[in-house]
Amino acid sequence: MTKEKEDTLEIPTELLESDPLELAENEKGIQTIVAYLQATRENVRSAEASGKRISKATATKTAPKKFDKNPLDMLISET
Amino acid sequence: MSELPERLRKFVWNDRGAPVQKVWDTSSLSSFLACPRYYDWSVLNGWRHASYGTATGFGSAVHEGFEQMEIGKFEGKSKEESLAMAIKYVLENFGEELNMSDDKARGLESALRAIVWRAEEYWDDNLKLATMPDGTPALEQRFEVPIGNNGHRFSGRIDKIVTIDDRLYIVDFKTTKTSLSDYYFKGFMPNNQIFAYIWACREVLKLPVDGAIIDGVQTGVNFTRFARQVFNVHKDLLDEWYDDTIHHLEISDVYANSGYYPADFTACNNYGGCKFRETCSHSGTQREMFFKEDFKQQLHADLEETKPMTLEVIDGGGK
Repeated sequence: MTKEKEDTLEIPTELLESDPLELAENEKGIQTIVAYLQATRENVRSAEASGKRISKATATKTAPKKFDKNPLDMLISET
Repeated sequence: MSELPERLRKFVWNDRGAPVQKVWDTSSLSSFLACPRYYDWSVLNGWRHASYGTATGFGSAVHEGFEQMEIGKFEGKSKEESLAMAIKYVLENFGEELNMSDDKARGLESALRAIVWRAEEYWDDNLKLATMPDGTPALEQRFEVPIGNNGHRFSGRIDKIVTIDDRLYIVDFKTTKTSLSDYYFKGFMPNNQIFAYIWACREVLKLPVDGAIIDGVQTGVNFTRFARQVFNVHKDLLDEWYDDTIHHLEISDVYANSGYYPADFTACNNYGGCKFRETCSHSGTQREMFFKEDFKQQLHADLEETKPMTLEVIDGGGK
């Protein structure tokens, strides 16, 4: 799997395009869609924070993980 | 004529066979104030653009999805359980309709996104849903109350009543594609809906509400944004709104009695242009042609049900 694919959310296209009444009975399908939309929110918020234009790509492009500590402190502690 | 004595009809036919409004709401009041002729053609006589697309119910889907979330929370369900309930509800009740939308910012995925993102944004909310005296959540409260002494009534639907620091506020959800800027919120002060709902709460339902909160939801193709604004309304302003409204309703009676609703050209270019602008720009037979070719008539159900047998549907509206 390429780096680009790893960084991109898998869009549950099949579920989103399925019969809404069937999807309403598919508990796991609903959970998948909720998880996908929650992830897009994180991505869009990160993109907005860095001033990027919001598109389908920014919504599905996984935002870089945030460091728990200040990156400079981490570098110093690792040297 | 009236087979429904328990319910006052919103519209009735007068002695001259013309429709008259008995139960008003903020939408019809705003139409009347913008242009009496527009009100006559659009609200009373039900003229719609023939090419007007089918409404997809996007706003209703989002509203009702939010309401399901609120009910879940009120019943002590977790965020995940409430979300699943809301999503299921929207899929069942609006899914097929929303899938037909040509507008991606107002389709099924956008509606589901608005609900999921809102749960992330506001689950731990400082606006607490109020409880009605009967113990039910203060959601979707409908009212229909007398206004003035000339037989008029006013109706509305309050989306939600909340408490903040033991103070009551009514909340109205608004879905829009417009940016939720200061300019957007300025449109709600002064505003007929805000004033009418606060008036109904305070003066008729005897709920001591301090003001109103506009809970805005901006939906785009790939994002949803949220913003709120609180409006506190002084009693003097409400009294003034009430007096003005009574005055306007009295004028509406004059127009109804005379059967003449004058045009007000100052509103022709509002909101991208009035749908009747071309029609008003022509007279006589040409105007009738516009009605025949560009519009279709869809009377309110109250008028359809009680239509006098001898009445011929007016062709062209320009009586």
